Amino acid sequence: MMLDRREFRNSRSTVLALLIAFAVLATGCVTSIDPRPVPTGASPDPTATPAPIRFATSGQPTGNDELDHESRLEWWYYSGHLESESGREFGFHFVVFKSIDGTGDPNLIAQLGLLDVETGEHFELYRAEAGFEGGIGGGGPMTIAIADWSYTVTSTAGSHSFAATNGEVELSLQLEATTPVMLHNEIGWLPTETGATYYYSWPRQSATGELVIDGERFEVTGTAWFDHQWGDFFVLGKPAGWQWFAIQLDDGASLMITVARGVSGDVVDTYGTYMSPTGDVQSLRGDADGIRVGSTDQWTSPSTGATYPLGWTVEVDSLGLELVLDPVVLDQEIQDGLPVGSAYWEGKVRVSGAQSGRPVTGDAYVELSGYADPEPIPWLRQ
Amino acid sequence: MLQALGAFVVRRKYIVVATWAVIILAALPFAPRADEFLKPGGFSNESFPSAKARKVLQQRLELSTLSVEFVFSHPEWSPFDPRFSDAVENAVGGLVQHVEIAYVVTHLDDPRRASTASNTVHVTAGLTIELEESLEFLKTITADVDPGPLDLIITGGPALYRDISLASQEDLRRGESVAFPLATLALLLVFGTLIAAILPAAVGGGGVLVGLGIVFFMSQGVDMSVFALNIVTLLGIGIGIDYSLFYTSRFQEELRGGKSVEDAVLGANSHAGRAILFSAVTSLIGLVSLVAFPVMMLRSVGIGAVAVIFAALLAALTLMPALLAILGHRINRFRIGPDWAKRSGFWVPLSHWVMKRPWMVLIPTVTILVLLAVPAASMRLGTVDATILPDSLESRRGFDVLREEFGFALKTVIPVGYIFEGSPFERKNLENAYDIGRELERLDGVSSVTSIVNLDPTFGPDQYAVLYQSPESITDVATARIVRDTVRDGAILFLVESELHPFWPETRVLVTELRSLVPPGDNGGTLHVTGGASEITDIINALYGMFPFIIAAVLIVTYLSLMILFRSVLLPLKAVLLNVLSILASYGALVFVFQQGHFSGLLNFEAMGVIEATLPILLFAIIFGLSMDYEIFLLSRVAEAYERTGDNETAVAEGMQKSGTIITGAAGILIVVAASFVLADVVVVKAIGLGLAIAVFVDVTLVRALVAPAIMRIAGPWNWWLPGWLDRILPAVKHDA
Repeated sequence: MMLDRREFRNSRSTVLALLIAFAVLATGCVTSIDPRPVPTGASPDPTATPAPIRFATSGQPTGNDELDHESRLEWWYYSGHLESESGREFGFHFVVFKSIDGTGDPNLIAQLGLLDVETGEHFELYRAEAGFEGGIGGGGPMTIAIADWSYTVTSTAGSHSFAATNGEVELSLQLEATTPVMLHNEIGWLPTETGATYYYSWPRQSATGELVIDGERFEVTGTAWFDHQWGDFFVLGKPAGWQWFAIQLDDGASLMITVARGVSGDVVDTYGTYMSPTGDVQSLRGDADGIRVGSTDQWTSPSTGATYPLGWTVEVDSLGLELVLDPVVLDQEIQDGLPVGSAYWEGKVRVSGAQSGRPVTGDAYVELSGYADPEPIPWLRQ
Repeated sequence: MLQALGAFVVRRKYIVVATWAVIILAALPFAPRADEFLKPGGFSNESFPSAKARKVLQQRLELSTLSVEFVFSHPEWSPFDPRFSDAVENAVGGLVQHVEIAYVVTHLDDPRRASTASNTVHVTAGLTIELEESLEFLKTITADVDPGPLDLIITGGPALYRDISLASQEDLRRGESVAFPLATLALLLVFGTLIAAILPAAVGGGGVLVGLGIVFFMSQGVDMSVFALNIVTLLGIGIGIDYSLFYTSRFQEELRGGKSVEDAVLGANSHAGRAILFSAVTSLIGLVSLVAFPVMMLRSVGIGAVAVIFAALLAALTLMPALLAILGHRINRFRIGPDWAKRSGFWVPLSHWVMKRPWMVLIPTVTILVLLAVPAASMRLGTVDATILPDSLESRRGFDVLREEFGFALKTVIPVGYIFEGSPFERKNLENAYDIGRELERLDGVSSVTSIVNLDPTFGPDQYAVLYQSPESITDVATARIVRDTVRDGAILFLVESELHPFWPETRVLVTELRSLVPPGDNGGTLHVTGGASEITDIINALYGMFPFIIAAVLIVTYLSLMILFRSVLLPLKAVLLNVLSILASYGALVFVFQQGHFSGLLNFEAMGVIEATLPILLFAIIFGLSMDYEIFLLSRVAEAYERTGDNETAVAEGMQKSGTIITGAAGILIVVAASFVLADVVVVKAIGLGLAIAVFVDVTLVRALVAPAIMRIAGPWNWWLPGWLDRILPAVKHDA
């Protein structure tokens, strides 16, 4: 295999030509992308017109708004007053939060706050879970399992049950509505600064069940207040927030009052709903109905540092109501399972006062939200 | 030149052997350490747009793209059982104290990390360090995390890469331990004598040792992938033994022809030596092309293969003749198998049978080859994930739990960073981001977009402006997390989710479309698309943008080299086309087995659903060179006979007879070596082994034994046609030296 000089030159030029061709071809391999400007002025989807809230009725297997919805936020909320056979008093607050953030299955958090009035001890339990197989679109019943807790909404309007435990405290209750439904803001739909929510209540549910505290078992009965809210809305913490009062007067009347603060911290809405002992429902607006809420005292939580107004006066001119509300126990704060800024006070209170000069008493649950300092966002504070 | 080299080696045979002994002894301590400086992976490139975008997002959004996943489970306790939660907090509580850890997210922070169905929780520790440093750091935190009563599996990027390295090394040991004895057995079968059989194995092995020693030193200066080692070893053993086998058999043939030992060595050197030299050149053409690809894995295979082929060539042309000159007739001692040279064989009758009915053989054989290649048309290219690892490894088991319990790797999430001047909560920036977010939602293949402006479809810039008036006030856990994790000054992250699999071609279209978007407004905004799917898009764009040109270049250069060697226009064309057919058939087999999952139980792997993007290129480079070896060995003998007889049919029959047994033997050895890598745990290595074994098998049976003689018979004198002007400018190479 011998090459003479001329042949070597020829072969060398061939190889050189090939190398140049290869280099040219290789540089032509860069892929280009045609730029496309993002169109401006995009508009949001129109907000749906609020639909009437539907409840389970016989012969109508679908369309039960007691069940869950495909909404960003939804909660089923109970607060109530229980008594054992021996007359020992308890207060409870049970809630199931469901949130859909669009990145996976709904997140569920369930909380139970239990107050033993005799000892003043306040227990706090929670469970959390991702994933939910509910009754979306069906008529019910709906059972939600949150770890080892369960919550059921039956096909009968206002008929619910739950069971919650942490080994030390166990509470299982059967709840049945004893009044008509209470639709807030007349149709059960409330627009807010940050979205709108459907909102209705069963202001009185009979509660029967079993309570275990540290191995001591109580058969309990009592009255609960139920709230159900759902919608594509956002809940903001401090300085936004609210004071919410669920008052059950001994004469059989029920009253919900909410004082809502907006993102600036100012009160942006005061409204309420009154149900007479005979079941008539009346929507209340802050100015029109003369709703005034004042605080008589305050309490600072040792665990979150939040200072809550505890002790209130509630006046509703259109109803002739002048009420004083006193917390049974100061520390009824709920924070487990939530970010620190979402801690809230949810407590059993005593009600006294007068309606049109006639003395009234009752029980209530009060919720105070937006008092705990939010968890700082480090990059925002730099 | 070869004659001169042969004469020198024969004269200085003891010095040559001694020199080689020194070289091999010098390489000996380093060859086993060849993997010491090799890097895991190597399928990506830091200059890819996805890598650049990743760096921007790491810098501007503190986005941690590397994480360690701790998978905790308990047979009885549910994840939110205080005993379970306490154990998790105790186990990972100290992690945040390491500066290498950016964040730790447990199921208590995000309940989606808990599965009550299987009592399993996964905790993510995002790292601030790069992959290479993370391997060492992984050892520290593995020792730190005490799961107590819980079961713990550690997975995530660093653990997967650690296990890929471990599995590759284990594969290498297993492959070598199987390949060498089997290859020696095959050599015994081919030569029938102990000395002749051991010699090629010894020379081939020496070449591999030297090649690995070179890899050890080169990998300290050039980034090389751990995957290269397996392939380099496979090639080194196969090619080294091939060369030595051809050389030895030619030496034996020369001895049988009555030549003295010295003349026999010189004869072997000028005939087999030339064929080996051209084989090495054609192999190198294919393998050197790998260096042109911007992917470390391919580049390092190219570099490593050049090292071992060069070592094998050098050993075959110097060590082998020196040893043969020393051994002389003793090469035929200790016969323990048949002497194929004394048997009439079946190659002559086979070639005559084929040449009597060339079309009858050609059409069905080519049809079979085309049918074998058909599945290649449905090839889907992708990249590797943890499924390339065996499920006996911890990181793979952890990956499986994450996939099954938490849906990992089943859908695509493409991070798109919007980088601009100013606060993300400024009205104009929110408006721009809102327009981008809405546009992203509208793209084909996008199922959802997560960002601070994609929270609610009924929200417009007005509502978002209210929402972000006081961002810390947002209590909604998911929204708060989005604000905390996906926004910084001058940066908003969009997580574009698609039901498309990251490997699918449709996903690459989506990535391309995302990259084409130009953000609105005058705030200097730019979009940066990263993530696994983007990386795959870049890899495939880079590889397959170049591949056609590299194929063309390799084919042309090989064609010209063969034209110089065989003085023919048609024979190189035939050789190149038949090689392409062999490669396509192996592609078809790859798709049939590794993409579609046939024989996955038998071969013990999980179907990838795609073909790893570097595989077709790698196989092209390796198979093209190897198949060409056989073509050259065959055609050299045919050309040699044709120059002597001037008769095409006689030349084909004689060429087949003289090379048939050796080619079959050599191919058999290579198939054995390649097939031994099918035992590998890492699926990519398994696929290379199988692809190579199938290609060589197809090549040596259908292509060389049937198609080649049929075509040569049909072409007749055109086989040897070369225009006069071409003959004059081509360098002269004589076959009958």
